[in-house]
Amino acid sequence: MKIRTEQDSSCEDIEITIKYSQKDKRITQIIDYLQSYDAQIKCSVDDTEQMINIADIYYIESVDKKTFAYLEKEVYHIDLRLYQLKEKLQNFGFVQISKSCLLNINVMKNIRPLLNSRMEATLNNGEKVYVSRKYLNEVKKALRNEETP
Amino acid sequence: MKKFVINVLATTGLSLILLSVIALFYQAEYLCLQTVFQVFCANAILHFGFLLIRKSEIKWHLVETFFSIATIIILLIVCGFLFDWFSSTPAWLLIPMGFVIYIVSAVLDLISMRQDAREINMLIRKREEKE
Repeated sequence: MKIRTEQDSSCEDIEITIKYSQKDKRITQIIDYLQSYDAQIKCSVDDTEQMINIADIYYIESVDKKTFAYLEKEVYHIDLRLYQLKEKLQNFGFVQISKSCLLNINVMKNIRPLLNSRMEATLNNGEKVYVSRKYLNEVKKALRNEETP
Repeated sequence: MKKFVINVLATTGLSLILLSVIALFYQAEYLCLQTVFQVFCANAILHFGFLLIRKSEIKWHLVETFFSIATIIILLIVCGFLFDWFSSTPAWLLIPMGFVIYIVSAVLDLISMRQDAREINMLIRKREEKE
């Protein structure tokens, strides 16, 4: 894969052109990744609505039927349910890691086993989240860039 | 499902080996065929119980361990009465046996989890290198 960059001071926004002979899985993944960089989701904090970049979300957790998005330092409320977000964000590197949590695998630093068939993932901001064994295959598939069900 | 069957067969094997060691200690000469199936049945029920406990994803590790151990004790007592195990093996021997199998299974599980963790960490490193 060749990457060519070009500086143009007249450009108002970043423009990306992808050249390919045939659109395959790899191209789709690159497009998904680029779209996720700019893709936003409606969130709220202290009754104020705002849009946040999907790529900035570290993990999404459902607590008492409410959904929260955890960023590096901030926490936002999302109106959508976890299953809706799972479907919406699966192409943006989000995988289910437990009954109530979706993790952005792009911010996963490392993982270590715990007792009782669980793992503990450390994120780039030092936060730790539990990963159930049941979802390990989904995590592996997402890291290998394979499609998850 | 595959994992469930493997786990049931593994702990059944462990239970039978441990039972044979204790039986040897008591100078027994054989294990009854029905015991093999009873042990298999008990292990299948036990793993089904563990499956339900894990599905509930209890936040506190100690509470989950407590439920797992309680499941083992209750199952051993129920099966002991149901299959008349207590006539040949006293409860004070049967319950520690259950604990030993639980600990061995937990260690084996941890080893397998370590392999998974290693694989995932390697995939993370590969992604980082690509970036």
